[in-house]
Amino acid sequence: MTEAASIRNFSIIAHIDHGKSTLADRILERTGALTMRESKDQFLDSMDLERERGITIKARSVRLNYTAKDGKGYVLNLIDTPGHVDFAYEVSRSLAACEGALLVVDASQGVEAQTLANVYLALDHGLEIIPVINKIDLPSADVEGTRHQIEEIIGLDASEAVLTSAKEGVGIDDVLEAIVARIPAPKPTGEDAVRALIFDSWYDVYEGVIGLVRVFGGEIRVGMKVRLMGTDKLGEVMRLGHFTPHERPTDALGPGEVGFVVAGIKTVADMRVGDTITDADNPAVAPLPGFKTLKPMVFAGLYPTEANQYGALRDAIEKLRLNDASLICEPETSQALGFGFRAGFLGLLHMEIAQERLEREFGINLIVTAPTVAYQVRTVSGELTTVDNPAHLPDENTIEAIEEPFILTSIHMPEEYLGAVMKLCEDRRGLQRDLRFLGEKRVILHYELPLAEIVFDFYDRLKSVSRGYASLDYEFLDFRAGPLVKLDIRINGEVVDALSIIVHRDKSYERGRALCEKMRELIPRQMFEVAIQAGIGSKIIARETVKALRKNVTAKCYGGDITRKRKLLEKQKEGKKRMKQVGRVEIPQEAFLALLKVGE
Amino acid sequence: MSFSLYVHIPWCQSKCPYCDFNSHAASSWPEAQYTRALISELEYRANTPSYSGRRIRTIFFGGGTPSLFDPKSIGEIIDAANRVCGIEHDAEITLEANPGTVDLAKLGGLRAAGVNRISFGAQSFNAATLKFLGRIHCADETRAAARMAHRAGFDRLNLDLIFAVPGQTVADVLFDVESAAALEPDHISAYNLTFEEGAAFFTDLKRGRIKQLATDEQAAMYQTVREEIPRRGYSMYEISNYAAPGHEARHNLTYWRARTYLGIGAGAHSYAGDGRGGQRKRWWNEKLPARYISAIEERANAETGAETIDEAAAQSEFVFLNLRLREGFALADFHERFGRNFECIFGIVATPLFNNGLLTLDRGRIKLTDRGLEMADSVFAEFV
Repeated sequence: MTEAASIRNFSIIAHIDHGKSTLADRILERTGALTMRESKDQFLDSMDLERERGITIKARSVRLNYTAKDGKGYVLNLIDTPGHVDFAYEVSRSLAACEGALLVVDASQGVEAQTLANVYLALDHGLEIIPVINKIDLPSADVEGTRHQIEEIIGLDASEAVLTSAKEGVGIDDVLEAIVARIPAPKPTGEDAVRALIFDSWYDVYEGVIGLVRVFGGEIRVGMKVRLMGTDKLGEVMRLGHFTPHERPTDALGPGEVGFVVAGIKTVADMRVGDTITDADNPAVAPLPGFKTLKPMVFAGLYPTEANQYGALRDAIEKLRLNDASLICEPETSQALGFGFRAGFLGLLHMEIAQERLEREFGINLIVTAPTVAYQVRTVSGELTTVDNPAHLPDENTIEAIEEPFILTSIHMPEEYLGAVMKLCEDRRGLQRDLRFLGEKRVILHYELPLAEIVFDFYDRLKSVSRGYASLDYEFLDFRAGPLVKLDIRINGEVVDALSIIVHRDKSYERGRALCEKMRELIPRQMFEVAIQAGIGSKIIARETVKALRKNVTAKCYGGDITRKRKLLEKQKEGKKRMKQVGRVEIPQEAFLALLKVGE
Repeated sequence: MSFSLYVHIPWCQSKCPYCDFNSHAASSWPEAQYTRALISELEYRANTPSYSGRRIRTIFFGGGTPSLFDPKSIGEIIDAANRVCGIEHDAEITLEANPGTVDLAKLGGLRAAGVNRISFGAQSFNAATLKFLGRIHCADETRAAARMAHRAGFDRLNLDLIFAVPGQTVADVLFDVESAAALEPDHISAYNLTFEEGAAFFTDLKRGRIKQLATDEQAAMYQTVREEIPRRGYSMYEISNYAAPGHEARHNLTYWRARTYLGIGAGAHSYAGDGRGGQRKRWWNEKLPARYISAIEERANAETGAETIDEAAAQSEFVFLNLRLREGFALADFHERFGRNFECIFGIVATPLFNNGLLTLDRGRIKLTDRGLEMADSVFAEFV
């Protein structure tokens, strides 16, 4: 166990590409945690998917030993954070485990979007923030300009910003010294009862769930019976340890320490991020603040392209859920697509990641249907039901009202983007609640918005109209009745239930037309003409036609062509597998998500 | 059972931009050395189990431009084939020629050497189209070459045409068909222009320097070709081939019926295994002429790649090759080849194709309908 006074817990906040991973690698190298050879670029991002997308989905932590210039030995715990609004909660829990953060800004790019949301989150948690101006080796680096920007835009004192070039290994010692000198050691809580914050957890096939924790009070020991205060699950500590980043077992974790806990828990849903671990025999009076069970915001159907993959999809989803407590899934049936699942996600990125993992890690060809939010339907007989699949909307005559979820959004931005952001909110049926200046140039804007208008592309649009400077946070408000209608898509006259959406009446024509156009682009020409129609009830409001393919024949096939020809045909057939046969029409996967591609 | 022999001559005077074949532009070539290599390879292969004891049914000299070779070299190869394998007395022996590379003496020499069928790459009779296609000959040279071939004693003559060339109209295509038919060949091949990887046009297309005709236009041209050539006495017997009755290219029927052939020369492909059971194998030679020659000189064969065709692949190939023929294939032939019923293996995939009017079953033969012909690749993909 380590004395709290010599511990420093910190995370790194940075915009994508501003050098967070490289800086982390250099810190790991400098403290001897990794040899140069081990630090194959970006050690912290472990999943391929993350590396490809350049984002960190799951937090991780590394414990580093550092002997500072004062001659004393310190333990530095670097806690990595994800960086997308869908994972804002995970970020907040990671930050809650720290006393400080490095804010890395690219000297040639200046302050950018992602940074802001997390900086404000870090400030909210009372973290000590150390600005680090990175990439000072670049010819286009503007250190003074960047320093100025940090002060202007974020309002942080940047006079003592650390200057680095992580790529060249410049300034790494200064960063480490600043961490030791400026980030406070964990404050003793003075309590004996165990309270440890889970800021990450994942499933391991051999050990069950592994949780990363920050101990606030008391001491967790191997063999201790523990209780998870939020989910009320019991476990027994089987293993404790640190990642250095290699695994190093230990017997106990004391106040201020960061490490992993294996307690025989079977799914991450029982060991959720934000929950508090306590001693079951001598429990803490109250859990640490901030625990939330995240509710899914977006729902979509998941169907195998080939019916015989249903079992494989079910197994894959079960495996995925072992590791993803926010993924909700229930069986459902679609007339068009057969047997599948209705899944709930935190947001679209979460949905895309789940889709990619199912396809890539489990090899399943998947159809994801148009995502939707969950509505409340009040029937004439007075019943209230929740509908998370537009196809399940009750008969029109029995509906008294359809209510949609509203949220309260907080948008932080520099004042110059205020006009553009307000226009965006108004376009999305937003109601302004208030507008406040934070200092001279920063604004915080509160809007009430229908969730349906923001889950799809609002975040991207917001980033685009604010050139990346606006940050978004939201919370659920209530359900409100509105003139909502079900828009159906018919393919060759037949309603395809998986394509139905619920829209505001004023937007239905525009949406119907745009959907038909997009579907026409996405459905390839086939042997027969394909008619695509959008309708509300029996009324058709838009139509597009995919003309029949007139010809698909290779002119030549002689002795030297046969092997190649067979391979081409195999490829053509493979491509077909990624399409879903609906009636006679083959619909590619992307067409089911046409809704998201409208406006691209 | 007899087999077909393909002989590849890999040189051309210039490389056409649509061509992705193994051909190399050259002004000189090691003709004697290459001829010796071909003969060595033939002698080697003739003694392998796939070919030993079997006679040659057809020979096809393809390229490249085989007409660049001296008729004497061609004669040596034919003589060697007869010596080591035996050539059936009614064998079809075809040689591909560029109309710009022949004269009466050369054609006479080829005929005397044993060649009995000439195939000219006419491509078009329109000067602009020929220029676009990078051809070294003009329309009048084609006309002269066809007349000379007849005079030299070739009563079997094929003309190749290419349609759906950027800039072409349906009227242009019709003109080419008329011009070709006027020369009284007994066979016409009319190919829709394709943009194959490895051809200059492929890059041009990718870079946007040229544009394909719209598929609907291409389809209209294909229809014109399919209607107009038969009106002049040639029946369509394959997706791109038309012949006077009884004058189908027997050599090419070997490919479409998935029968055994031996390909010799640089880059040539061979296939052995049309009998029931036994191993089916396809292999191919070194593509570069110099490497081909040295491989033959060192080890008597120049095989550089091979694949074993398993039963399922053989069945697929049998179906998609035979379906290229208008007469399709007899269910009995399928059973004869594989010892199993077509319906057992492909019934599930074939049924919707019948129901959607792409395939028909006519007196025990399965064939493409007219619509199926236009959509042949979509049909074929169901069988792989």
